[in-house]
Amino acid sequence: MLLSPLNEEELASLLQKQAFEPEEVTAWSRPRLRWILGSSLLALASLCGLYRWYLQQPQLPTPLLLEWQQGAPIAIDKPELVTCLQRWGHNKSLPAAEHILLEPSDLGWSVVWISAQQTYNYQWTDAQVQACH
Amino acid sequence: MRLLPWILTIFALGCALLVLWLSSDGHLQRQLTHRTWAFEREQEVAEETAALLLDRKLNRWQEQGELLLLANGQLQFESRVVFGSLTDKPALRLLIQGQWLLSEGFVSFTTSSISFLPTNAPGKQLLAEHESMLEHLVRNRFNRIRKVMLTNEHTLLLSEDEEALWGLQERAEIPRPTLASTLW
Repeated sequence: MLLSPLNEEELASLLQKQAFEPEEVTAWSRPRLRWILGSSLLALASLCGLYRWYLQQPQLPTPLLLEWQQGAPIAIDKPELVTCLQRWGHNKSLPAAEHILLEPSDLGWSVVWISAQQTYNYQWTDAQVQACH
Repeated sequence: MRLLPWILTIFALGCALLVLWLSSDGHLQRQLTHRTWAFEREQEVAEETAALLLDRKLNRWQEQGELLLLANGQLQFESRVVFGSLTDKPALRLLIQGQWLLSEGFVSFTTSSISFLPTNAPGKQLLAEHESMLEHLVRNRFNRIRKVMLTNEHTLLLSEDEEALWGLQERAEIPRPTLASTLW
């Protein structure tokens, strides 16, 4: 027979206490904390999505003359071409351009003259662009 | 402190819904509709197809027009076209009604009716001789799928491979004289 230093009553009380004592709670096992962490992650992902959307917003770069390549504007650093185009626009009495876009097309070059009030579309031949250049 | 999870959840869901809405075609469609998009277009090169269809050498196509897109998918396009040829300058008014559809950043235009009105005698003659061919020409130029880009709130660019870039701008509303201002 096993001898115990505790009497029967003490042993029962100890076992009962152990049985009903709450388990040790870790931080992760708390539902509220899981909820807060989950929401924070979702909020962070959404904010990243918002920032990505903002970066993807189409905006024309600052330079006046841009070349349209595969659906995106690319700045062109050709001051003589800009001067020539501006002179041509002045001769046609066009308002001051905010942007001038050039795009190669089947018929030569598309020239889109964007001013504050109106947008003008022209078609230039290769020879015209070369002459201007 | 007890409300913190709720506040975070509502904020996160709000942000997620906003991202979905901003990235959707619905947002772009809302920016395009119920505004009049105006443009001027001038083509100074000979177009072989037009010359073939209209039996005359055209050296200029000058157009000034407006495009109105409705939220229900209907569109109206109106323009004044002046052709430049070696002999005369036929001028016409062009009216197109049709449908438009926006999908994944691309817009497709479909015409359901095209009508022309001459605005000068050469225009009347051109229409009498080649109305059907003119309709083919206009339909071919208009019925396309183009990529949409709003470069700012008021400027719209429609691009298509191998076709000319088409820039349009929101027409600024000019206040018309009222009866009161006219009378007084």
